[in-house]
Amino acid sequence: MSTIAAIQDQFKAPFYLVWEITLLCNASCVHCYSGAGRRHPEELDTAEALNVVDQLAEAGVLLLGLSGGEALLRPDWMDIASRASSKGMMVSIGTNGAVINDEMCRRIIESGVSGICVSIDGATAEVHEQVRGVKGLYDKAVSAIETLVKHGINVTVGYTPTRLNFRDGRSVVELAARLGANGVNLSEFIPTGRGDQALALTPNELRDVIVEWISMQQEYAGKLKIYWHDCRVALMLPPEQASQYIGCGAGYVTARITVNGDVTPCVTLPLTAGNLREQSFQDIWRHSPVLANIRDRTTRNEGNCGTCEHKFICGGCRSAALAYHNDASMGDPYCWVVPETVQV
Amino acid sequence: MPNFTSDTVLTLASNIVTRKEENSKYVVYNPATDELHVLSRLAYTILKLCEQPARIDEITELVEESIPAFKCDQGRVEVNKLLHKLLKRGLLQAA
Repeated sequence: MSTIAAIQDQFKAPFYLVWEITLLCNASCVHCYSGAGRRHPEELDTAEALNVVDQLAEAGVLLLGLSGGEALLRPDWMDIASRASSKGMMVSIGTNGAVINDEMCRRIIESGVSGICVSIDGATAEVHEQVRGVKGLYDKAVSAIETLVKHGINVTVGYTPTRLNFRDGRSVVELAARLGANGVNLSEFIPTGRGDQALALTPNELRDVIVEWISMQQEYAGKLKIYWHDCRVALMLPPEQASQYIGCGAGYVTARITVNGDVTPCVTLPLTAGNLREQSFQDIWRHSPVLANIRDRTTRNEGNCGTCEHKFICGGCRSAALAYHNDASMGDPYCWVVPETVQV
Repeated sequence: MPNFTSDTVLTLASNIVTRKEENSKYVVYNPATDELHVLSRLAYTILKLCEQPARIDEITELVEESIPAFKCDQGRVEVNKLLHKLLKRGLLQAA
């Protein structure tokens, strides 16, 4: 999500919150930021989960992404999604597509879910399954998209470029268009969870990927929506437009809830601001020192981001800083504008 | 962005979601662009006036009625600027 806002604005709640409702997963993706596989013993139960939904709605969260693990493997996912959509939130679900069929589509529609994001990390089975770690998953993902489209459900294809697949971006977009998806989202790879630093792109490779996606957004205008979730997008815009962006939205416009109820500033930023078994969501959002620190760029003086002229339209990726420096306030190792001393 | 006249009919972009903040500002999410926009109360008022398709001169008149301070040349210029911004950001569309 890109944000056009003034940096001094303080928001009463995140707009977009990703919630890992289970870590149970039928894939073993090499880049998984959750390190998912088996069900977590401290997973929030149904009553706790519904209470969290009510808290998020009351706080004013607009967009709720149910994630995992494979979110659709959690038996009560419909209860959670239905409650959230009935409270006025736009609910999306991330999936690898393996369990999507006609019956699942009926349940998705019944739950009021507004969109499904199916991961496609390569334009061929070979590349996709190398990333996802499961044979046969490519055909299932493609079939899932076709089935969702047939049922009139809004589908976004999710793609995360790593060293294994970053040359496949254009082909993935072409595939998504051919299958009738509504959009494609480019996510940023952060070496956290199961993701290893060896999978990361160099800053210049990342820049080239973003340049290509900006170009494809224009090519596909009116046919397919092309998004990216990268705080550095303003670096690519003319100054007049860039000045309206705030860059990194961690703890500011976005947040994550982990499987055991921890609140973190971003899906790839494993800094715990509080736990929902101990505090209310609004209490954490308003009073957590972790979140206050992440939001405050005025006192951030370390590394390449500290003195960068783009500090307030970009801010650098705090997740990348944490992953490489073990300190989220440090410089952004993926930056191509002002190179950081740590090489990736 | 196409030029528009006082007869141009404007309408709200589809499926946008809004939220009021504690500082009297409004935040609007536009799923078509995956962008969040922070709006002043005036900009939000204009947006609401376009829930039903409306001509630009109608919108200007309605703003003047609800906020008399805008019933002057400068006020109309400001409303016009805001309409341009909202169009540029894709929150309003020419019908």
